[in-house]
Amino acid sequence: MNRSLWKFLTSLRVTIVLLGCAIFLVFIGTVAQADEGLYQVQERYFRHWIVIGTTLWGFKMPWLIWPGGYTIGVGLVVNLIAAHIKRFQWSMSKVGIHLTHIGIVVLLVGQLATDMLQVESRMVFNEGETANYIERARYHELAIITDTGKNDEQVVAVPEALISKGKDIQNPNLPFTIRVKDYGSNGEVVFHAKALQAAVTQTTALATLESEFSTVDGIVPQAQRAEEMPGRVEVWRAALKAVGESDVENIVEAAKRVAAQPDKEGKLRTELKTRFRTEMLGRFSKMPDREDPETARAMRYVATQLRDGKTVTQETLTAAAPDGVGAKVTLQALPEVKDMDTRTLPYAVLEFIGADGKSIGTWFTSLVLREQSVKVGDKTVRVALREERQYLPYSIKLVHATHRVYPGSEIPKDFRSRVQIENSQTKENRETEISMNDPLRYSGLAFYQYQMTKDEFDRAPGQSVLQVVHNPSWLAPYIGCIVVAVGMLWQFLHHLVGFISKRRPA
Amino acid sequence: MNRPIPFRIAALCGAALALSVTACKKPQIRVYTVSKDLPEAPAPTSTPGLRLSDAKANPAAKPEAESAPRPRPQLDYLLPPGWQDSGASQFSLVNFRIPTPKGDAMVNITPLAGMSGRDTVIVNMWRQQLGEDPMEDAAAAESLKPVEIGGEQGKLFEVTGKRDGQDLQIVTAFVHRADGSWFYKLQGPAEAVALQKETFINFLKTVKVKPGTAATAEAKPPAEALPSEPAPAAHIVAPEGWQEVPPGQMVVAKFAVNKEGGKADVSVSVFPSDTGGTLENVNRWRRQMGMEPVDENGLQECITSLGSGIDGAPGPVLADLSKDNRRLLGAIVPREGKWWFYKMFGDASVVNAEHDTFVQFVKSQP
Repeated sequence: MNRSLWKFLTSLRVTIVLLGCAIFLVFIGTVAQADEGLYQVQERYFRHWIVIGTTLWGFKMPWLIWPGGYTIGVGLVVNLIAAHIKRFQWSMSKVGIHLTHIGIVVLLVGQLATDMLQVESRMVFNEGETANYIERARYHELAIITDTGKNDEQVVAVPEALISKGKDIQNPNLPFTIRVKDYGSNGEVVFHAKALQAAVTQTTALATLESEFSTVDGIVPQAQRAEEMPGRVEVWRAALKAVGESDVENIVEAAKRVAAQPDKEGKLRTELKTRFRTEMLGRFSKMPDREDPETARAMRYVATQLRDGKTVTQETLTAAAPDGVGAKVTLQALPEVKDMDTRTLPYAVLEFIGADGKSIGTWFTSLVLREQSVKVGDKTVRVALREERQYLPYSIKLVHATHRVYPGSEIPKDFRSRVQIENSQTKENRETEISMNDPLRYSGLAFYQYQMTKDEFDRAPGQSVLQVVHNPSWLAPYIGCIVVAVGMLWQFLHHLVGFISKRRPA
Repeated sequence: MNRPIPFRIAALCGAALALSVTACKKPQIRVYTVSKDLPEAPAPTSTPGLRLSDAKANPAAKPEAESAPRPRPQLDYLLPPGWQDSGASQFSLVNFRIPTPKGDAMVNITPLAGMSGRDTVIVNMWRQQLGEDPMEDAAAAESLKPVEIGGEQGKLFEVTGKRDGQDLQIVTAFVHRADGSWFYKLQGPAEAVALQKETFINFLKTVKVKPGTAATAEAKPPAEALPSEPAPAAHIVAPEGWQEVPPGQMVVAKFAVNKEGGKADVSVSVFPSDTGGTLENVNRWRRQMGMEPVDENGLQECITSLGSGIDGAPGPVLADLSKDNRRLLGAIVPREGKWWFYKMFGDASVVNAEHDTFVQFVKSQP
């Protein structure tokens, strides 16, 4: 072996440099969270071999190239092992130290393996329902499902990563070639019917607003009424300031001063109309999904259109694709969401090319749409963009979900799911309980009880969410800790025995 | 210190192992077969680490293609004598008006999602409507009595309170079903509700919910619900003395009336729907006047019918509201599939003088 390489691998300087690199990586990763979000930083800085470019405090640094978390971690492990081998001395007095170091290496490698190999999924079901697959929340796939004619369905699952490349996708199991005509990592899908309803709602609301400030009703009584509605006072203050009023603490008094000047009153009305319109559309554009996400999406879309001075009519609504449900929806592309609490909703416009080279049609697919049927010759296949699934050779039924909080608070006290495992292969059919600190470990998977917030549980009572973790190296920390403990005990006992032996009289 | 070669090889093997363990996996197409026997899991409505609302967006587990609105269920029931079907509304599947000697009572049937397991919330929701204090869980549970609703075991509770000085009562029955929670509400003056309560409970036994087969009103592409293109103001001829002014957004035409030292505005709007109905619009006008909103009973006191002679369309009404020397005349006129809203608002002296002109204007223009 090259002596200089060996020297390099066992060098303490390398250890110091790697630790320095790790400190700097943690530093830039922490700062970059402000711009890139926690999830993105975890993926790009710590779960990567190399980091290329960063943004710190708003400053873009595309030139920065730095070793990623994996490079530093693997480097440290190799350096530690090599240095240990170089300085290895076999003697009973060193066994404890060796064991302790081996335990630490097991811990490091185990953590690295966990980080690389652990797959987190989830299982969501309501009381009385049975689930036979788990889903990965941030990974998506295009599923092409064909009825085999028996009791089975064949699923061809194309990962989103392949679709995002935009190249034609072929597979012997597919009845067509998939041509990716458009792909986006995040987009809002708005049903035309809902958008038209939302347009009526919002234009009516705006008309009401318009009439409110277009009447000859004096602005003073209007200010008096606004004073009783805290949300309106700030808008009034801003409008009064805009027409030159400096003291706007008391909007009624300010309105009285403005009312005495007809020109200024007209300006104030215009300001109020404009500001309340902006305020109203701003609220519509941020309408949360709550219980009716389709309507909420439509309201947001219409609000942004009206805000931009556009109208929403049957004619102005464009179709996302000519075939399937795409003809009834409009797509609004959105920037990718980087924070941990929101997920992106990818979409794709796909043209299916038959074996004869002719186009079968162009479909729009999105995470928010259900399966769509595509006729290929005399067969019908179903197509859906969905979260990446892993089917299980068994099923789990949710018998009962319990959700308790401490009285007078929303602090979780007890979340648990009574589930029934049905495994036809092992003829197993038994009930068990999964609670907050007591996961179910079954068939290589660990099912943890997800702590739903009170709001989530209120919206979906009787529902339970299980976090499902597949971690082949889950034993590593246990083994590592045991080895370290044995090493330390050995070392302690060895010294103790030696000490006692020395003191024993000859 | 020199070490034997095997030790070095072992070190490198260890590093290589670590690298191989952490090797990247390329995305690949997966092909697999699943059985149709096992039931599909429900559409996720919650995601660890994700917003519930976002997670709910994926109904991929459903077998059919489109994320179209759910069909509105249909109801079978035996209508008690004297109950008048008022049709559906935005939230209720059906509404009944029950005239009694003690005033009109109302019954409506409303399905709501996500109410299962929230009985205390339900009770307090109705208590709040009548200004009553909310109940604790135990008290709310105690207030619920069993009742039969279409062969299913439901719950019933009553709330009595005052609104605008009047004694009102609400009797609510509900049942949680797989398709949502169904609410049956009898409300009105306390004496009227007392007269109808037994009939209402018997009515509940006859109600049967059938799964919807046709798309709901919401599901229809509401081409007819498009915001109408405003008609040119030139089509509307202003009465003498009314000065045309530029209309604002959503307003078809607007006029200013200056008379006897006072002034009033007239605006004309047109919409493809009744924008919530007469009660909603009159209450909107009342709020503009700084007046308290009214219920259906109060509504009748502030509106008059303009007859059914306008293009043969039924139901045009005129609302007349006054407060502090201000007066508002508001007319709602269904005409040729659209709803026309006319409003005159201003100093009472001007509106008084122009009342007849306004009514004539409403009937004749455009």
